[in-house]
Amino acid sequence: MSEKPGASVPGRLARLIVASAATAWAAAASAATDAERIDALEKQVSQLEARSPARQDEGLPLHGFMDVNAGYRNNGGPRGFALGNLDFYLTPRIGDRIKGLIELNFEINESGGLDTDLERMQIGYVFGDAATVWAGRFHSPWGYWNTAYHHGQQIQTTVTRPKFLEFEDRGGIIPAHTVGLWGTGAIPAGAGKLTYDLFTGNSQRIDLDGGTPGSGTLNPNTASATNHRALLGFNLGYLFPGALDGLKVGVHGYTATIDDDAAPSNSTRVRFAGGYLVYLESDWEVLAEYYDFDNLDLSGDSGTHRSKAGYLQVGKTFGRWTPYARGEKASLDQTDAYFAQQENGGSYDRAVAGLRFDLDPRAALKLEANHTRFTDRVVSAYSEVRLQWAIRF
Amino acid sequence: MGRIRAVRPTRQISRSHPPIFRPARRFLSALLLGTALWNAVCAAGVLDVGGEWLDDGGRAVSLSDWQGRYTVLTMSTGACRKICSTTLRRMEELQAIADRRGLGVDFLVIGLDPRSDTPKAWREYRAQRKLGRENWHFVSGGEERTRRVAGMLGISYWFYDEHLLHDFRIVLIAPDGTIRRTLAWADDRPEVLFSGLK
Repeated sequence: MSEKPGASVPGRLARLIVASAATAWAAAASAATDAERIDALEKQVSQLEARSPARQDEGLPLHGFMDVNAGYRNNGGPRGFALGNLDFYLTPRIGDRIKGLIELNFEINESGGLDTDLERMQIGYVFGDAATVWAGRFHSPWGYWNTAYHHGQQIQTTVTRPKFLEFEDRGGIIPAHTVGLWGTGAIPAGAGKLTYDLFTGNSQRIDLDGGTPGSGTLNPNTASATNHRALLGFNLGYLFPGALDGLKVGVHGYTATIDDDAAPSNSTRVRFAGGYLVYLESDWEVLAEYYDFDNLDLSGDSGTHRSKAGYLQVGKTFGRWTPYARGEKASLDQTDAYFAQQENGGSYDRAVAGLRFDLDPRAALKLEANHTRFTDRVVSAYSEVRLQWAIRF
Repeated sequence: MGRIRAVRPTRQISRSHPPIFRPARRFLSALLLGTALWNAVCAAGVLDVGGEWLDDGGRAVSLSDWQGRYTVLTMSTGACRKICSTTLRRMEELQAIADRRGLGVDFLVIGLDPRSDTPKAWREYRAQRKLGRENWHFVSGGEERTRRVAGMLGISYWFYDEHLLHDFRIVLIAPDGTIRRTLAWADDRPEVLFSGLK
C-alpha cells in the first residue's frame, strides 16, 4: 500500500478514497466479515470527517466582472475588438456592524492604455435594515441605474449605459461618483417599502484637456474638495407590494458647486431633480429616468440655465433570450458652462436595440445597435453595432 | 446505505481465482466500497442538513421531512428578478410534466437570503405568482445552513451590493435523500429530470 499513488493524486477526495480503501484493505486482510469491513469503513470516513480542521478564517472572497467587446461605427470611429473592464469586488466584514466595499477596476482607454480606478472604496456601519452609513468613495445614489448596475457589465441587460449616465471617464455628464458620506436604508411603509438615500461630499470639478474649452471631463475630486464646496443629494423610492411587486418609483435631487480649471474658472451651481420608474417582474424590464437641470452661473452673469435628459428602456426575457430597446434624449443648454465645458456635454438623442443571450447565469453575450444624433454643438450622427461577452466570477 | 450492499463482493467468485489475484481483488473491491461509501456520505447530505427551517406558513420544518419521496429542489430568493424567474418557470414546467405523467413529486424551494426570504415574504411571493399547490414548499433557514445546502448543490452565490448573484440549479432528490438528477441552465429539456421515474 505504501507505494500506492495517494501522494501523487491531487485532491482531498482522492486521498480520502485511498484512505478508505486502506482501511478496507486492512480489514479484509484480517479476514473480517463483510459487515465488519463496512463498519470499519464507516468509522474511518466518520473519523476523516471529524478530523477536518475547524472552520477558520478562509480569507476574503474575491468576485468580479470582465468583458470583451467588438464593434463597428460608421463615422470612422472605433472599430474592431476591445477589452472592456476587469472589475474586482471585495466586501470585507468586521463583525456584524462594520463592513467594507472595494471595487477596483482595470479598463482600456480609447488610446489603448490601461487605466486603473478605485471605483468604490467605502466603509460602512450597519444600524439595521433601516440605516447604513457609508464613508468613502461610492456611486452617487441619484436615479436608479447608477446604483443598480455599477460596473458589472454582466448584470446590466444592455451593452451600454444611457450615454448621459456614463461614468465620468467614459463621457458621463453627471457625477457618477461621490467622495463623502452616504446614509441609506429601507423602512416598511404600508405593505411596501420606502427606500432612502442621503449623501454629501466633495463637489466635483471639470478638468479641461490642456485648458481647451469644451474638452472637459468630470473629476470626482477624490483627494479633496478643490473649491471647498460640498454637494448634497437625496433619493426617495417606494417599492410596491402585492400585485405591483417589482415596481419601484422614486424622486431624487442633487446640488453642488462645480468649477472647471479654465482661466478664469467657470463656477456653476449645478442643481437637478427628477424621478424614475422601474418595473422588474414577469420577465419584463422597464426602466425610465428623468433629470431636470436648473444650473446657476456663479462666475458670470448668464443667470440660470434649464436642461433635461432622460431615457426609457424596455426588455422582455424569453428563456435565455432578452430583446430590448432604449430611447435616450438630452437637451443641454450650451450657454451653460457646466455642459459647454464638458467634451460630451452636447445635446443628443439615441435609439438603441439589442439582443442578449445568457449562456449561463454568469455569462452573457449581447449584440446591440444604436443610432446617435447630436443636435446642437456639432450637428452629426453615427450608427454603431457592438458585441459584448460579459461574465461574472 | 443500500448502495453498499449492491457492491458487496462475493466469496464464491473469489475462490475461482488463483491466490495471486486475491490481494488485488480485495484491494479493488475495498476501493469500490470506499468510493461508494464516500459518495453516499457526500450525496446523501442535502436533506441531512439539520437545524430548524421555517416554511412559508411560519412552521418549523426539517429538510429530512422530505426523505422518502421524490422532491424537486432548488434555491432561490424572492427579490431576484432574473435567474429566479427562469428557475420558477422551469419548476412550473416540471410540475406540468409531473402532472402529465402522474408522478407524485414535491417541489421544495430553499431561500438563498434568509434576511429577505421570510415566511411572510414567501407567502406573498406564492400568492402573487399563484403557486398555491400543496406539494410546493418554500423554506428558509439560517445563513450557515443555507450555505451548506448551497455548497452541496454546487450553487455559489454572493452579494453585489443589493443584488444576490447566484447560479441556477434544479435537482431531483430521490427518496433516500441522494441527488438523482440535476437540471442545469443550458438543459432545454426539463423532462430529463424525471427520466426513469414511474
